[in-house]
This record gives sequence, structure tokens and C-alpha cells, in this order.
Amino acid sequence: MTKINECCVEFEFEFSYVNNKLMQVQLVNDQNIVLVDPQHVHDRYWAVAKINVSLPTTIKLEFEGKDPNIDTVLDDKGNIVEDLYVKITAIKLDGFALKENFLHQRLTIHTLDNQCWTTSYIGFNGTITINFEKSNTFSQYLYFLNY
Amino acid sequence: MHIDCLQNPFEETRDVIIVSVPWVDTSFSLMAPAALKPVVEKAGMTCLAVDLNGEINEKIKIHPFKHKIIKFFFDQYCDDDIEPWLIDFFESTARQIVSFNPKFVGLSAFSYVCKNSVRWLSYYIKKLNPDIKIIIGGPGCLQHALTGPSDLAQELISIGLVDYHIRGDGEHALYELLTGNSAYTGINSDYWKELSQEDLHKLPMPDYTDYNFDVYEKRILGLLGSRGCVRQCKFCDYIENWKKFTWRTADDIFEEMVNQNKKYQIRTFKFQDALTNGNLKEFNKLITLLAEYNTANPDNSFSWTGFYIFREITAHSLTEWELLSKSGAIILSVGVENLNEHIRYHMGKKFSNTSLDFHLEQAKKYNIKVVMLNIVGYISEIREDIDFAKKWLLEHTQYKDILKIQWGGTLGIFTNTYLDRHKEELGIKMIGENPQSWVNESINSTPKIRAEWAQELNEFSKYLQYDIAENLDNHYLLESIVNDKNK
Repeated sequence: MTKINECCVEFEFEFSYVNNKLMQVQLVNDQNIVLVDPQHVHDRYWAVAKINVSLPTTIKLEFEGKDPNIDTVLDDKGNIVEDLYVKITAIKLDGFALKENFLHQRLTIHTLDNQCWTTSYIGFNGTITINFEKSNTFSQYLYFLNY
Repeated sequence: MHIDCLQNPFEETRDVIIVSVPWVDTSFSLMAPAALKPVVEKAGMTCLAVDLNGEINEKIKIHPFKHKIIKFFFDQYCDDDIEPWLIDFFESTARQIVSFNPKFVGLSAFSYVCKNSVRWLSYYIKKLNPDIKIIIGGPGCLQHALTGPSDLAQELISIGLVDYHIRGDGEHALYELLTGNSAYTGINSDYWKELSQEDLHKLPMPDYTDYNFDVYEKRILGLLGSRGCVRQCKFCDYIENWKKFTWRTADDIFEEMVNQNKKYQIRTFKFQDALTNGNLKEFNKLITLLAEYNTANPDNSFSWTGFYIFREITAHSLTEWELLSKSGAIILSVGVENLNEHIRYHMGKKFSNTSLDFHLEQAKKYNIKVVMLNIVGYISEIREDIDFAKKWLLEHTQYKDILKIQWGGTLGIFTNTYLDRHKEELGIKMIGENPQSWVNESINSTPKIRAEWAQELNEFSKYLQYDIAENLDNHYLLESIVNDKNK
């Protein structure tokens, strides 16, 4: 029988494709590591990745593979015309989707050069750490919902 | 937490468990599980049918954070004060349901405030046993009570927590589903089949065997006497679902009352339909039967409550009120809707203020309580109409002992109603997703102004010492409209 503290956390990502490559993402937890495997469908690169965890726990989202010198392409006037990025488009806990404001306002990436950016648009190499402090999905989901 | 209505000391099994889920603001039993139990048994399955809402209401009543728990059912807001109680409630309920090893669990959502119970009970039940098929149904599953899409069903089906959503009259659809026909109209579909006149006659008597009537403030049994309505009010979404008025005969209803009284010793009945006196011939026959019964059985007399429509005064009106009294009518819920006659006429409620006065006078004479249901902010309603309503209240305080007034949550434009279909020609413009989110710019009618009118009438009625039906749903709705800076 499933334990009440077990939770399947699902992430949805959208990728840009620049310089013949995508950024790489992996989900890391003390029990599991999941490599995110993007699909190419209808000119879009996207991925759904699930990680099964026991609550409470911490999940790290590690982003890499971007060369800031060449993977952000500027025009003559300095405008960005192409950018290698990953966007987090959804997070679900046992199927329950968190609201968009959580994605936009509660995800902070710590970059390799020790900067912090609160965003769901990931244009840097670095790590997002999400702490799941509650011991069951009900409490954790509502905690994030009412954050 | 121990849920009495789901106790299973001998580890019995049931094929189907049907529960009404919280939260519904009521002091008596909800009928759906009892009405559906015979349908399950007809399909050859065993069933436990309980009113969980009744028991939870009793538990919440004495909880120090009662209002926080009720708020959770509205909007899922949860803090440390109530989190342990909620987890305990959902997990314990699910464990007790699963202990019966059912094949199906039916969650009945009477109101939209039941959505969060449906969501989390489904979650915990599936978590404990993913093989159990979960069926949800009831007006609370739909976006606008009776009409529109079911976001809840779509969400829960898409994430695998719910298997089937039954829409509308569930009696046929549930039977078909349990006997293997999950493609039947009304199961996971936007359309459903109304019960015909013949179907209504054939409906089995609700079976309340699994109910514990000690948990209710009032010992009252529900009854279904009709479907649909004889009026065509322009704001009404009910008639868009039950397009034809169908009814049970007086003899049929009376027989059920007598049988239920014998079985449960309950003497008060509540008609759970839209109106009791739609078919005047059958209604007059029923109140005559009841009056005769009550005269012959003074120690076991019946009383009843239900929705009732006021009509224009006729030669029979005086006799009807006398019979109503003798039949045991104690509370009549009447959709007066507006105290301004011209607004009522526009709505399709064609009875005059003279008739309204007559009916109230008769109700007072026979001491029958009238719950007067109102809609504030009809599409043509202006400030002068609110002032008239206040004047009416001031001039009718002699009825305050028998009147209970509900001002409601202001006019909503519900999908597919007359008002919805004629929005443009009526000058109505929707400005948001909620049914209350509309404006009529020609008379400067906005959600905020209408909500303030409703609150003003509420306060004025209280000041005049009328009895006010303070429905928490409406209170919550009005507060949110008034506080919404965008409106």
C-alpha cells in the first residue's frame, strides 16, 4: 500500500534550441536523480519529468550547458535575438498543479557565479532548490498554494 | 478521528459506498445517498449510503476554529490551526471507506463548497487503494451549480483521481454505470437524460437505513415531488436543465410519507424539489390527504416544508391556505425575488404586490413561516427600486414574526438562461468569469453597487428586526465582490 508521505513531483519544461543544442536539466533528491529528456514535437522542445519522493524532502533542479558568451545572440543594436533557456511551465504534486504565481515568484536560481534570480525562465547555469518541508502532499500543496 | 457513519467493526464489505461530502450549511439530512442506495441494490450490489456532511457539521460545530475549517471548504486556505484536523478528517474518512473494500465510491457534492472535500477525499482514497473507482456527482461539481462545464471533474479525471462524473439526474446513469454501460448519457458527458414523468413515478423510495438521525439539529426527511418548474423566469438556470415540469402524484408522495414515518418515526418532511405547488390539481389533492391524515392522527401528525410559488389571488386562495395549514405546512420558501412588482413582471414572476400582501396575511393567520428569497440587482434595478424595497420593509413589519428574508448574493447571469442568451439586447456586458461579473452601463449597474445594495438591504432588514437568512455562501460572495477593487 502506498505510504501517505510519498509524493510524485512532476515538472514541465520548455526548451529553446540555440547553436544546435539544448540546456541540460536534472532533478536531484536524496533518493533519486532524474535526467530530464526533452522531446521535439511540432517545432517545440519540451519535457515532463517526474521524481518520486518521500516528504519532507528537498529537490534540486540543476541547469547546465549554456555558454553565456555564445548562447545569447545579440543583434547590432544589442537586442537579444536568440537565447538558450529552459522555462519551468508547471509543477505538480501528485497531479495537483501549483499556481503560476508560485512559478514566477517562488523559484530562485543560484547561478555558478553566485547570483540569485527569482524566475521560472532559466537563462543561466545554476541550481534551484525547492524545499518540501511538510510531511504529506495535502499540507505541502496547500502550503505552496497559499504561499 | 473516528467517523461514526463509516464505522466497520466487523470488517464488512460493500460493493459501493456513497457519501455526501461536506460542506453544506444545513441542519438536516442530505438526501442523495439515500436516494441512490436503492439504485445500487437494483444493480445487484451491496451499498453503504451515509450523510457524511451531517456528521462533519456536528464535529465542526464544536471546533474552536470552526470558521477557519469552513473557510477551507470555500477556498482551500489552510493554516497551522486547522491543518492537523483536516489531514485527520480526510485520511480517517478515506481509511474507513477503504476498509469496506468497495469497488466504487460515490461522492455527492450538493454545493460548490463541497469541491475541496471531493478533491481531497478522492486523493486519499486513491492513495490508499488506486483500484477503487470513484464516481462524483451533484450540482457542486459544476461551475455554476446547474450549468456549465465541470472544471472539477475535468481536473480530477485528468489526474486520475476520479473515474466517472455523473451529471444531472443520476438515477439512470448510476444504474447503467454499475451494470457495465459507462457510455450512457450523463456519464463523463455534457449532456444527460432528464427523468420522465414515468421515471419519477417508478423511483424507489429513498433508503435512510445507514443514516444516524441523532447528528442533526432537526429530524427531517427529504422528499422529491417534482422536477422542473412551471414558470419561465428569465434568470433561472434550473429550468435550462429540467426543461419539462414533471411530477409525482399526490397518492404516490403521500404513500412515501406514511411509509417513511413508519420506518424512521420521522414526522417532518422537506420537499427537495423546485416547487411543491406546480401542479395545482395534485398539490391540492396532496394537502387534502395530509389534512385528513393529520386530523385522524393528532399524535403522529405530519409537517412539511418546501418551495412554493405565490400566484395571483383566486376564488380558491382562502381555502388553499386553510388546507395548507391543516396539511402541516410549517415553512414555505417562496421565490418572491424582488419587492418591486415591475421587476418581478420583467423576470417572469407575474403576481402583484396586492397578492403578495394577501399571501403574507394568510401565512400570518395560520402561523406558517415564509422564507422570502430575493435577488438584488436585477438587470433593470436602480437606486429607486432599492428605496422602494426599504419602504416596503418599513410598511410590512407586522409580518416579521412569520417572515425570514434572504437577500442572496446578487443577480448572476448563468449560462444559457434567458438573460444570458439575450445579453446584447438587454445591455448586459460580462466583465469577468463569475456569473455576478456583469454591468449594465445604461443604468450604471455594477457588481460592487449591487453587492452594496444587498448588504444595505440586509442591514436595514436587521435594523427593523426581520429574521434574516444569513447564508455563509452569500456572505462570502458579497464580501469578495465589495472588496474586489476591479469592480
